Amino acid sequence: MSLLAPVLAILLAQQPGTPAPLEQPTAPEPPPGRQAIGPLAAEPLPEPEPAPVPEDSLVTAPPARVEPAGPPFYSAADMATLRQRHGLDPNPPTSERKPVFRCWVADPTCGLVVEINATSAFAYRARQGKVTDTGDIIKWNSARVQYDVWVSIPTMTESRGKIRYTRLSLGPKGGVVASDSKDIWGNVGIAGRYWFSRKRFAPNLEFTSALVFKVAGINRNGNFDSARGPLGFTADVGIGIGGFGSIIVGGQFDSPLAREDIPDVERTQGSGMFYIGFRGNILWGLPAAAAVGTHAAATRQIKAP
Amino acid sequence: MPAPCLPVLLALVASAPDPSVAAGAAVPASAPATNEGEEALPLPPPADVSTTPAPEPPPAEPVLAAPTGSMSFGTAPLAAKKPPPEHGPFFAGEPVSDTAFANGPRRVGPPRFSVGRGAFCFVDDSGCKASLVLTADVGVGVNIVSLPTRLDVPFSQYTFRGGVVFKPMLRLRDDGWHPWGVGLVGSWSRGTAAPTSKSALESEHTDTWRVALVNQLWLSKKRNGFHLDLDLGIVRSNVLGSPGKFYGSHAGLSANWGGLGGLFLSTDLLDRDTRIIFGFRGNGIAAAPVIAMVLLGLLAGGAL
Repeated sequence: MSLLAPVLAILLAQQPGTPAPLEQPTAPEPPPGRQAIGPLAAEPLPEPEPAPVPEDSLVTAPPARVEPAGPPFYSAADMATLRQRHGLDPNPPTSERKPVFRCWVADPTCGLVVEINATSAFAYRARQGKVTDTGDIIKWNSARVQYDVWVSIPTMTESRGKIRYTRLSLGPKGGVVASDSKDIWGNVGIAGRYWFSRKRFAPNLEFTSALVFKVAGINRNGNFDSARGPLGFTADVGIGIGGFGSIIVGGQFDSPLAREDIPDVERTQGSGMFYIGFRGNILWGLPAAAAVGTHAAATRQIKAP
Repeated sequence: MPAPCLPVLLALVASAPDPSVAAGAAVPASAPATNEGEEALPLPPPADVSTTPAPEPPPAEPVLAAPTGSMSFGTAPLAAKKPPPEHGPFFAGEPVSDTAFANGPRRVGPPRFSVGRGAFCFVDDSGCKASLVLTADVGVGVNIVSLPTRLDVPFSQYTFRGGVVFKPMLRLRDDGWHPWGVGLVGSWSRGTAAPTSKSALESEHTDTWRVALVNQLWLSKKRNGFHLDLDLGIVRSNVLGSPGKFYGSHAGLSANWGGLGGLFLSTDLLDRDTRIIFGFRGNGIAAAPVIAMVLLGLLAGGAL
């Protein structure tokens, strides 16, 4: 314990006792032998003479333009000037009409659209006859029915104000084609539509092209079942009103399957058709009813020669 | 120093005023250990005995940042939120635009035909955690028969397909998005008969069953976003027109727009009988009316 006595004494001396009064901070005194130099007083400047003012400025001085303190930095007049400079609509719409059937019928105000179209058409069909006879072609009047699912993707758009409109849509499509004699084809291809205006019943140009192939028909045993057919091609163009319907003109070609290594029972002749008809969205009823009726009538009434 | 005296010294030293606290400085994280092997305590530095004791200092400002190497007190700085990992050239969301279709799909909100804000969708979409797959398709291609005749002939089929797909990473993270989806689908198709003359008497068509694992790669977060699907599975079908069914392998690659539809390329690899098909696939909601109208037309026409 004797060793701790000095340490304890030092530590106890650090304990706060009566605090000494704090001295007010004072400016440091200048070193002796040198006179203090204070700041120099500023001399009064002579008053400037008034500049001569032209007499015109007193009459035509425009009022100072008050700029807004913060955004927006462009006023309505500036935006109007900008629209005029770029040829934009001076009064762009802030709202747009609602399409009927929502967007299940194609409309310029919609984005991506999935539509189901049904076609009823008169078809002028032809088929190659005897291969050994030059120019032997069998022709007959018939009907064509087609049901397609279109995925119409807006690929070219235009804007009016803050509203975007479809000008050109393209997308895959696929479906079923039917005609007389229980012939049924499948088709896989692309469909497009160019809109000429933004209205509900806007005129438009439709164009499709697809690979077409036999899916079912009267087979080699005379039964209605799966049937073989070579790959063909079909295409059409049409003038439409809105997404509701269009008048179309097109054609189809089925290439022959007549290779030497193919058994005779598997061989098929080249064939095809030209058609003109009406195609429309099934949601408003008439295209669907017309297609089903045309299909039924063609199946019952028309027999391929 | 004898160990029993240490508590007394600590108590005396702790009672002394700390000039560094009065200056508003942070307390050092740790002090040197008094003895090797003893635990280091966060002691203040020893007071300077030469300074005059100062009056009771005002309470120090709260320390907002912890000193380096110590997290024992103070408010930890907020770490920057880690950006979601789905940024990339293909997986970016829809770019910001001043314009929009007046009646187009909404940019926010749950997917169409969904319940639970995308927990389950009846039509697949990029924001769906689980989706029903229900499609119909038509396709055309080639049937390659490895007989001595080396025959290859056109082949076409129509298919009905159903199943379920999940996006597991969406289930793990509520606020994130991930381009991967996985699922299981089954399909049935009826195609052209086998190209042998003998088989014509035995089978007028080729029926095929498939079960496949689907892996989805969504290339867009947009509604009805574009995605690639890879199907790998098994197939059971006629081979060379025989009435019996045999197993084989199935693989397919498809390009789809959401769950609405798409194009596919698939193959069925069976024993000496290979089919390669290209076609269009549509959602059942759109395909069902087409099928119904075709059947209705055939029925009304007396074909069935």
